[in-house]
Amino acid sequence: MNRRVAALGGLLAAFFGAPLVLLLRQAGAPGLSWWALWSDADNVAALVGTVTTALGAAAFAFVLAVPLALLLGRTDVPLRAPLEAVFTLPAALPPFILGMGWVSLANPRAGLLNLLTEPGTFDIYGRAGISFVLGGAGLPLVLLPTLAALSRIDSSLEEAARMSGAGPARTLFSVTLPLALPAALSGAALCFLFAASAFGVPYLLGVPTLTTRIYSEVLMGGGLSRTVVLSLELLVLAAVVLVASRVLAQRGAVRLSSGKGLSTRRMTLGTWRWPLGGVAVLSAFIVVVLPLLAVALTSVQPVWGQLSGFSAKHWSSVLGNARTIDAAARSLLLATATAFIVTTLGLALASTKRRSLEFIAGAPYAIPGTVLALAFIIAFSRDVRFVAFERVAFVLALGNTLWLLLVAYTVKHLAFGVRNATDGLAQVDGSLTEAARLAGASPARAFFDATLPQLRAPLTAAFTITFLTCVTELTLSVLLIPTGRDVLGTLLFELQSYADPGSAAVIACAFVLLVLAVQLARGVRQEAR
Amino acid sequence: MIVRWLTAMLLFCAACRIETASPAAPTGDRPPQGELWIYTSMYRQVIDALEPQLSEALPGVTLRWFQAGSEKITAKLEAELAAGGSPCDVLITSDPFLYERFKEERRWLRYVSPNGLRTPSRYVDVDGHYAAIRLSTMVLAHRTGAEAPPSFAALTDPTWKGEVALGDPLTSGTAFTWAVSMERALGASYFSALRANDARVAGGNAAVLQKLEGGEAKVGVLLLENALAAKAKGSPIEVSWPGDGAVVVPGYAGILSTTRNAEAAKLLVDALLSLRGQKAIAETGDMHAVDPRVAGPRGSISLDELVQRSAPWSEEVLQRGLREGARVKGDFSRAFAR
Repeated sequence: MNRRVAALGGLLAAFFGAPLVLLLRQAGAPGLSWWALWSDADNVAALVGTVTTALGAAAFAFVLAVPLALLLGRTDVPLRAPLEAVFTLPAALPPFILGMGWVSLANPRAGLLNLLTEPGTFDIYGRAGISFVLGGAGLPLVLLPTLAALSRIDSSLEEAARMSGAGPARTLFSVTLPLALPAALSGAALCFLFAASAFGVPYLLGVPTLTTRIYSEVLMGGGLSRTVVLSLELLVLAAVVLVASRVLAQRGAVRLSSGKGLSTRRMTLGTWRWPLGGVAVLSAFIVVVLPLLAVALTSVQPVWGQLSGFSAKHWSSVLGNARTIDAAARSLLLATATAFIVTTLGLALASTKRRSLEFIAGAPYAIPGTVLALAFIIAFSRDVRFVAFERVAFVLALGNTLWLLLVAYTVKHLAFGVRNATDGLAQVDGSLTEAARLAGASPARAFFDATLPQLRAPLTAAFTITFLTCVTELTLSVLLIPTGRDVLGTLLFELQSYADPGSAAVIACAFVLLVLAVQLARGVRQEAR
Repeated sequence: MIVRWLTAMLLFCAACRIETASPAAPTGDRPPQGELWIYTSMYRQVIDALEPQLSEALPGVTLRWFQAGSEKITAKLEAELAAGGSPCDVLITSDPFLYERFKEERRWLRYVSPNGLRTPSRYVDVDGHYAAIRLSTMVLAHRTGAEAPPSFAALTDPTWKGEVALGDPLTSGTAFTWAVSMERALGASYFSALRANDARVAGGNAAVLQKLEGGEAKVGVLLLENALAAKAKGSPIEVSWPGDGAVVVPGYAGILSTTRNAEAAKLLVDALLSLRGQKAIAETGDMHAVDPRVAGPRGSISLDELVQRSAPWSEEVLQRGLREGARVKGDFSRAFAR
């Protein structure tokens, strides 16, 4: 056990600790007062902007995701599989693209929604708009873990409550909800970190946040040290949020579920079945489908925002391009590898039950991609050489290889693996594993045969979110991509920043269609079983 | 456990490359060989158009392109330099102030290309630290049918109240260059007047273009190349030349003094400044070449006329952006603070 902790700690130290320390060394520039930088009026305003928008996003995602998870996970509401698939989609899109969709829908002067009603009815610019867009984009971060937690609650607990005389509502609030709450809270914490480290949406919607300040410092040049000092604020924020979510979750932590003959009996909604289904469909439409439709519309318009005219030239030019196909294949491969490593490593870290390791593994998610990428460049742009037999040199050359991108993706998204595995493990009671051990199974065997199957739902959630996020990851990719290669993220960046949003929309749409197809196929298969 | 260790070892070995430490072959007067690393913010289609002629000019050299936005490239380069060295040999971006700063930090290998002799004098670094190879220009763009503003100064006129879209100088390099130039001409009160006129500030050139195309704004400050490309695609957008002078953002090429392939780098700069290279840049990039023999992009004004119609560009402007850039940004964000 201790050796394993040491090995995992070593991995984290080498691939996250070392880059971070090397980056922090940049903060020690002479004549730079940290306090002066932090208390600068613009930077305080930026901090306020970050905290308010991120809290808003987390609250919005939480308030929407928990009832939805209960509906989709515990009741017989119609269209469950398609709804779950649709609500997962935002994870597959760079938030920037969703933001673009919302700008075309709800800009106060010429937004489509405003043209349908009255100009000025909807205004996506400003803090509320950012919270709304980022909360919608971060919805899967809360929804998937909560669904995973709900799927492992034994219905017999609810039945026991019902038989003891509790009504359906009481059962829901005193039995079902407390069991799923830790997962939902840690999902909301992730959503906060996601929103706090997002750059594209605040940039597009015009509110100064820490990330836009950081970007501005990078742009000013010579500002590496100032960049680092500002990023430290985000790290502190991350620490506060992770600790707070853990404290909140612990108060409600109940270790009750088990893998023993799990029976999920869904609550029958009776006459409420269709009205509630309608509400779910409506919220899916507003939060996910509407901006996607706007993006899809963009992809078939010859000119952005011109409703007249239809043209498939974006589609044919993007999908017919060998570079796109090449980049897509590379992205899918990288994302699969990342998701696999994140899930296994997250499980390994969570099973050590060391809070410090869990925390360190969650921290990178709060660091803006640009800063994290800079840390990796500083740490790994030089080759590490081991010379053997005087003539043969083993060169660990991560810089300018896809390996560095893989490492960076993994470090950034390790939080998904760790949080999901921690929440999953908290719900597993050890009796099955003990039984396996008593029956003579080796620790490994007991783990694979008894513990792992109980963790299927949270691990799948971790894998799905990581995979979807990485396929279209943009910020890390742009800075760390080796010369002459492309991934979908770098193509998206190129198209979107060089004023070709139509083609960027095509890539986004094509990927969404792919995800939707896979999700639906999975849902259909599950229902057939 | 064992599996994990094996995986880790396997990953490590896979990430390693094995080298035999043989002595490097001595180089003589042969044409340059090896690799040349180019970090550039030039558009992909420009690189694609340039590549055949560049490999013709540098037959033995493998060109390695890293292409991204100017800001991203600066960030990557800074980080690599902080780590002790960058593989970059030639830097071709559109952030003029970075070139001036690197000049002060003595990071350039000085080189004056014989092909650059036709460059208008105001864009020439007389000490040959770097060379302008292309000119991007911030101009006024307006929706077809809307009234064209006569100048940048006129954007504060009530006629365009609530109808102006600007890039954010805090996050967009070209918008920053524009803001420095405007602040120099009109003072910081210009920003407050824009704010009072409800100008919409967000994002970079792509965002301004979208606001114009989508009808959120009637006029905007935009790069000529973005406006021309959009117009060619069918966007309802017209370019107008501001009476108080368009703001040219010179795109420079500089050879880093740490280059391991100086001969190839010099040949590359020569090729970029050659007539063919300049034509490719102007035609595929929709921007102005620095060679007056090349016509303006898509029937736009000629280089000579551009020099006439643009605000003066000099060492002093560069110094101003470098020394007082932070203050200009501060003035701007204070004017637009909500």
